[in-house]
Amino acid sequence: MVKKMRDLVKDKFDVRVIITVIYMTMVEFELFNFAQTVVNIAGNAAWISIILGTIFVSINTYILSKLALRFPDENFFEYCQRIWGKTLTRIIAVGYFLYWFSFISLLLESFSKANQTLFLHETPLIVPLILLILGAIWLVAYGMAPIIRFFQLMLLFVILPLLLLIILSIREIRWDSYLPILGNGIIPILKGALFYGGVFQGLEIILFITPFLNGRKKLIKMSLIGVNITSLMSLILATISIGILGVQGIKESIWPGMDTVGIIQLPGFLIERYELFLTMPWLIGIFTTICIFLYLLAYGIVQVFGCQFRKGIIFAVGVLAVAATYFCPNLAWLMKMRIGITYVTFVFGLFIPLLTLLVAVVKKQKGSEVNE
Amino acid sequence: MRNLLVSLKKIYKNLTKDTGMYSEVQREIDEQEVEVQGEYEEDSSQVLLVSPIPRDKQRQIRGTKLQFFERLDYNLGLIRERIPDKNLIFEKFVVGSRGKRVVVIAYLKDLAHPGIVKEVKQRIKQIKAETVLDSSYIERNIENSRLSPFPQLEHTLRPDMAELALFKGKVLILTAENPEVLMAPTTFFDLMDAPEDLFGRWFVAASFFRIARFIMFLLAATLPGFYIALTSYNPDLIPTKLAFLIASANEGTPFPIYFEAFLMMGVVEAVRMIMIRFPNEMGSTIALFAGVVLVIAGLHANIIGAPIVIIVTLTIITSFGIPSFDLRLSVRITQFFTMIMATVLGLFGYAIAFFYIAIHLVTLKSFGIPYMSPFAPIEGSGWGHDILREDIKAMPLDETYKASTKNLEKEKGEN
Repeated sequence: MVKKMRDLVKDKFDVRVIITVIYMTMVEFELFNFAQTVVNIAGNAAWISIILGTIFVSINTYILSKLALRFPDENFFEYCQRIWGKTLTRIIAVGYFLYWFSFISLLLESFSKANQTLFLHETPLIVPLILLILGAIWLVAYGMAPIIRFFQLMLLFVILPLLLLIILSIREIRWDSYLPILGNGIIPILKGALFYGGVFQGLEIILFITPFLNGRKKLIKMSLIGVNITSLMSLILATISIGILGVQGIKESIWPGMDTVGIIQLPGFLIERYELFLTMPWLIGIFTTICIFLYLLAYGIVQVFGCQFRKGIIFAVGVLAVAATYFCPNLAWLMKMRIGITYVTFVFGLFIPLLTLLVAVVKKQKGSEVNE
Repeated sequence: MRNLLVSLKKIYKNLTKDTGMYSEVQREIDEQEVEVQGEYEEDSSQVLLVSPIPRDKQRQIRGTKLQFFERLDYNLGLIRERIPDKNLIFEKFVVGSRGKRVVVIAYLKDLAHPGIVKEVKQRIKQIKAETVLDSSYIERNIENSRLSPFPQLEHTLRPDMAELALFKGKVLILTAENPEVLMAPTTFFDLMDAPEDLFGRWFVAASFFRIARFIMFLLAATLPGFYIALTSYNPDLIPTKLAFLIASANEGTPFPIYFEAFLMMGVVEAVRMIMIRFPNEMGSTIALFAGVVLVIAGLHANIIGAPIVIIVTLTIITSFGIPSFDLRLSVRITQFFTMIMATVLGLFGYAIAFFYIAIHLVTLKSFGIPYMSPFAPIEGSGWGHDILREDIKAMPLDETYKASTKNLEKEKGEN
């Protein structure tokens, strides 16, 4: 991808890297949930909701890419100051910080609960949390370029096990689970599609990554490919889950992904239990998502408030996010909050960038031209 | 052999005459080389004794049997003979406040990235030492991270590999009185590269063995840790039959699995050290005998379980699939790291160890080049020769470090 040695030295990436970044940012708990909430809303027609939701997400991606391309050498907070003014930018930024902070804390708490159930039944929850956040702090301290390289390195370890699971699970599908189509009418499907649109937390990374990219003319195309590949994987996993567990099974399950994989049987094959093939991509997905949000949060604070101690801020934010997990009373509350934050995503992932774009167009404000 | 050296000297003298485009420093080293060439005639018997003997660290299947040796002028001549190109530049440095060791860097001016050459020169100039006992002194003083277990420079005794490095756009660092030639920059995939991959006839086989080597690297670095994590924390993820076999094999053994693993890995390290320290083949025999006796006695006495012997042996076998000695050493350290993490935190610890190692690898650079290039960052054009071997008639070369003329012109313009 990177053709020029100079770019390697200066840590510039080909625009195609956005596909990897979007996928690795989005993948986290969906791997265990397999779009459970969408199934809860839309029933066995959840796959239609996902397809419709993908159209919505694609439009969202287009808007974000357009805005990013208008100011290709700056990140969102930089050009926001010119568009909205300093005070308003600070208010918007604080909103983003709270949103990202809440998301990281919820993600850490979800991880901690899953980790206790799956791996470390008796270890105090704080131990794995600290180890995970220390890794994230370490990576984020080096900046965006190593984060992207980490994503690229891990991509293979996420994609390959998932592809294997998809192939193996096809023979377990009961095709009658998808019938009747549109049994509950069109409204649940549309509601499901709307919800699915909010699942793409972190899509705003497009607004912050552009200065690190070469060949930015292709940004829109590559971002759309990234979003659609992510959505395709989500569609396949949700469809398989419906086919294997059925709508009722998914509703009753805590982690439909794990239950779906647990059913896979392939006599004579080397492996008997396939949960490991899901837990590995899941752990990687959680870690990469935490890293990118921690980056956005810490570097955002440093940039907007002009803080000097970048590493100190990263560390403080990471530690605070872990501390915030102690305010979560139980799993039910956590689930509720996760669904709630999905709707908040529309504000920060769509409305604010859309408004910013509109104002920039009206005011005829733009950054440097994209020449590559 | 004497004839070879005489002809080498003639070729070299002819080449060094062409000094029109060289800098002062260049001329100085050329003059020095011509002077040293004179010494060959007076005392060439010294050269005859050592130069033709291949000092193999690895069995060589194809390629030249000539090797670099302690004489800097001979090494430079060898390179010059292989690449009689006006763009081949030698630059001399003197390192050491008292030892005054001559260090020469070599590069192809049109292929090496000027930024990398400049960086190499700067780092060599900054070395503060009384003397340079070995090229490893240079290596540890100019690499990006001394704390990293992963080597950031490659070294070779083979002139063909040095030539290849030059054509890749790398910089060679030659130290007087030292046969090892350092090559900078170096990526992880350079260290996983074996000469047979380049000289092998069939590209499919070469690619296959390269992939096998990467899998062996992963196994060598993580297998014992993975085994400890699965058996100690998540036996439910092991296939039933295998889980029963492991359980029955460990029945009656006094130690937990993680202890067995550490014990066996320790024994293997001890055996390895015997093999290195003993002067001749006797050492290998003694080490092998000691290892086999220990394992058999341990199994018979039911002190260790058979599965851990299989795991440790497999780990050692796979570690020898890694061509670079330095990388093999770093893998041994990572083995212990993954084992400790897996012992303390099971599969989660194993995953965290995996993340930490990956984070270190992606943050590491060698003279500005990301260590995991061309995999992270993904550079599709480099996959054909760095990760696999593409089907080309010419020698597969690397573009990772190469600066095209176009780029150079651009950079000149910028400056």
